[in-house]
Amino acid sequence: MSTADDARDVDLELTALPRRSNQGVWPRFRRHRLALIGLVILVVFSVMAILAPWVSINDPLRADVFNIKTPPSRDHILGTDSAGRDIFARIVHAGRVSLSVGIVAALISSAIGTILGLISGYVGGWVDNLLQRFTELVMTIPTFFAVIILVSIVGASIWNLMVVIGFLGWTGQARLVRGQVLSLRETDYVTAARAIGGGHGRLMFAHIFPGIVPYIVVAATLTLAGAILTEAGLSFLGLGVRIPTPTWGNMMNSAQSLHILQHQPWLWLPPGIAISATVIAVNFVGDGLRDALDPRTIIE
Amino acid sequence: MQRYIARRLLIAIPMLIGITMMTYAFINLAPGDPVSAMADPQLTLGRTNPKQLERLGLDKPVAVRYLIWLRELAKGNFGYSYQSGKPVLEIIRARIVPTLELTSVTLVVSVVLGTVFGVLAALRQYSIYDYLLSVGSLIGLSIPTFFFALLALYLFAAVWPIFPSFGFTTYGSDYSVLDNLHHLILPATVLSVESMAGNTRYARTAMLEVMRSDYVTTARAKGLSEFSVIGRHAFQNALLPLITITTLRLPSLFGGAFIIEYMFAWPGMGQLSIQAAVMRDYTVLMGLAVIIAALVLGANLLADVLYAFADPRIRQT
Repeated sequence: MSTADDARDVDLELTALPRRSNQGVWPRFRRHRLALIGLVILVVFSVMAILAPWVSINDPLRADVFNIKTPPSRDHILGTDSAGRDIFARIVHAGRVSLSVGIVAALISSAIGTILGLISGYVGGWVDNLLQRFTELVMTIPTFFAVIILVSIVGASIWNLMVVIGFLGWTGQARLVRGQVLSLRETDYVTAARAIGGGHGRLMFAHIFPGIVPYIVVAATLTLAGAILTEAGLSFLGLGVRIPTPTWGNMMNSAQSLHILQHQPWLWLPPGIAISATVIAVNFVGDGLRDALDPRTIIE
Repeated sequence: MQRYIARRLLIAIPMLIGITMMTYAFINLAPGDPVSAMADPQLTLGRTNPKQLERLGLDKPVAVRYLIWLRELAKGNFGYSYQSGKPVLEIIRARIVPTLELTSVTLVVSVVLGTVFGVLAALRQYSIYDYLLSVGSLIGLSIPTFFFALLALYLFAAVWPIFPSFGFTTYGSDYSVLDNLHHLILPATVLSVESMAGNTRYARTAMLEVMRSDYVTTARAKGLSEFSVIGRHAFQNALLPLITITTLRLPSLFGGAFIIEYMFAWPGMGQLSIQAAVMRDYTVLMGLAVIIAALVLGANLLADVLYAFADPRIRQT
């Protein structure tokens, strides 16, 4: 049981220090064993997604009416789906869609959240008040519901999904960044920079922004996990990316009868494991980064 | 405290108006207009009759249309479903109780168990129990709700069929509480796990935070029993952030209920909204957005009141 304890010991050690330790981020991250496992899983899945056509011999879109729902065999190591398409090939190719939708959406969310949080925290006053109320407003509607409505309006192409999920997932990030900016704004080094005549843009981006980067990075991992889950949920319901383009979510769409659930587990178990493993890996990496980037526990 | 509650109430009203504005703006992005959606496609041949637009008030500017819509909402007229032609409010009203049943059971189970687990983990920080719970809750947060639901259905409805796989009650039989609860167990359990995983982490953090504070040290130094230190001094204060976080997480609880209701054919608002989204029944979606937002805001208000009771600093103002 030394894995997380190691990280936490580091945690404790560093909490006592007034400033961030000189020890680099990577050595601290490396001591968090679960985070390393997570990183390995993510690298493997990403490489498989990038090299998809070479990793799987079979074509993920080729239907084969003579081999519908066949169990795993030598030709199809994870079996075939309800149109006779190779499941392993689809899993590998689905990684491309699921991961890129998640990553782009998380980038959009992080960018919006960071910018709004920076402005809100730095400018303060009525601007802050307005942005805060707006953030609360967006938080009141369940994200998944808002995504469903918007996607049903603009249509569920891969690009639309990225944008819609990205545009609705920034609230947590914005609140976090705002809080950090508020505390950094009053620090001595920012006051000093202001005193020697630093402009607002310079204060925000050259002085305050670097201080909140660790927080942004850790929060972005949470946002990424959420974006991957949202896309998967939408596609599972048939409201996201449409078949035949494979995503991990829509591959599980076929598992909507107890018969398939019980007798053809190769249809739904592999994509389910792929999503779960990816999101678990992202969260483990986030946990490790949190311990490595900042000695204090910064967000939960 | 009355002033505090009055202020929260005054904040909730503009929020609700804001929600209606946002909903209206969203739906106005939708392609096509209600006239072409209502008309028989074989008759209109892609041309919208200007007279019909006028009759429905669609020739007016967006702002005016919004105000008309708002006026009708206030009267309780949520419009009619594009698909079934029934009044939207009537359709939604039938769905509220099942959703509240599912979400409130989930909320109670996940908050109580999550808090207990989290507090125990905080009290035994760095123990094997703490470690397993931290990793376990992270995994619980990571597994998609629908995958967890499929696993639960596979185990407890297919392989070992002790729970029904769908519905609010057994189809065709009269309503009975026991039958309803029997149907509730599987979806509520699935929904609780994810929520509980989050609550465990928050409770652990909140408790650790409090245990480090000076007044806990003081209480110990005074020679109070450990039970009194943890129960009276630490736990009561750790509850405050938990109330806030639970409030913040209410929308995501509703969000999780969408997929679960759909998968278990639980006749609530989540199932309705997915059916409406598939059918592009925008009037129903608009009505749902307003009702769900009102429910969340109402629950937030309730939490504010709870908070005021729990926090003496607010109670006395």
